Amino acid sequence: MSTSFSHALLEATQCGLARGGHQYTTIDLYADGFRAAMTTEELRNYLTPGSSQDDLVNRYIAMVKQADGMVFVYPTWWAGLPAILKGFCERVLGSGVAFRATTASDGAISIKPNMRHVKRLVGVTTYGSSHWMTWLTNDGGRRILMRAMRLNTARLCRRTWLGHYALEQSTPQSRELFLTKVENRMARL
Amino acid sequence: MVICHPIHDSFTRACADRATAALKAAGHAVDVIDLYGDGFSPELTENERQVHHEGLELKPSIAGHAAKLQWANRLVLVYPTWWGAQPAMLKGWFDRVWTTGVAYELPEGKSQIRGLLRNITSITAITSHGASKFVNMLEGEPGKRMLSRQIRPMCSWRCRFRWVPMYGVDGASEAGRQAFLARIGTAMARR
Repeated sequence: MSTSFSHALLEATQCGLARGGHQYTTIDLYADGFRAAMTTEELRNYLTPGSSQDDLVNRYIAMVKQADGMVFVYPTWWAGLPAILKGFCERVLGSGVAFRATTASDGAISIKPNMRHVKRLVGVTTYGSSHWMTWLTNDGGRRILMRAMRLNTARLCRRTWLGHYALEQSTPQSRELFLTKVENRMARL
Repeated sequence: MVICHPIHDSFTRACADRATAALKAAGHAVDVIDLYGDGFSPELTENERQVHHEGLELKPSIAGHAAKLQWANRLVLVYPTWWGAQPAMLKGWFDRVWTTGVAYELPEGKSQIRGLLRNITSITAITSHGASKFVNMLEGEPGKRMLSRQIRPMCSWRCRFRWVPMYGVDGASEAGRQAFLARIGTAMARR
């Protein structure tokens, strides 16, 4: 939804990045009509780089390969990424992009990191739960982006996490404060 | 039972078949939701987001799935683990179907949600991981924890959570796979 708080967060992120002199390109998954589900063909050819028939996926892959950092802006649902963003990880960050796969003569597959060009991972998100409840029930989205993803990036890749917790109880002031915080943090990256 | 795999003759499918057979042999009625087979659409739509906090009566698009959830007393999920968690297709099923009025309600003036699926007394996750157990530990097992810590509290107070994982499936031998299928049979025989 273009009127959502997440879109306001996107704008704050973009303002901050521009202020800090960073060049960026934006991928808006919903606006682009991205399909979250991995297709049968894609999974059959999963280990062959560049095998996707989807032009959108191939366009995103080209963008990711140019990037020296990635910023994810999304609402946390069920302690995880919305399906559409999870689908982005699965369909776009595959073989030849996030990792390289080699198959040994005995059929064993070995995976090597392939996003050494990514030196910064940033997550900007909102939670319905409070901070301690999120900690208690485990923040799956953060673990996917900051841990699983981090295994494939540059060895010295830095991570930045910005979350607005307890959004249901938030006030206009708390949201405004968070937007300012996001913009300032992005400008300082 | 919810099955999530895009390839029809996959190992995940073999796991689901084994689980179904074991449940039927024990005299249970099994209702299968095959997300890929049914052509489920995992993206929460703008309209669904707008009525997210409303009751089930405003959500005709998920009424069928909601009825199945309200009928079941056991939930079995069969899926491959990708990026440490459920595939987008299955995550989308939780995003879209497990909403206010189905999985939980937010009582007036309260800040904590309350589970509604008290009929479900057992959740079993049967999943294969390409990576080893060690790599999954480093990643923090987000898929496992979502089910045990977020989804289970929406179910019965005494709901059990059974984790039936096969790590390192990429390099697994045929014997390893057969052993895992046998393990599924055992897991299904328990509540």
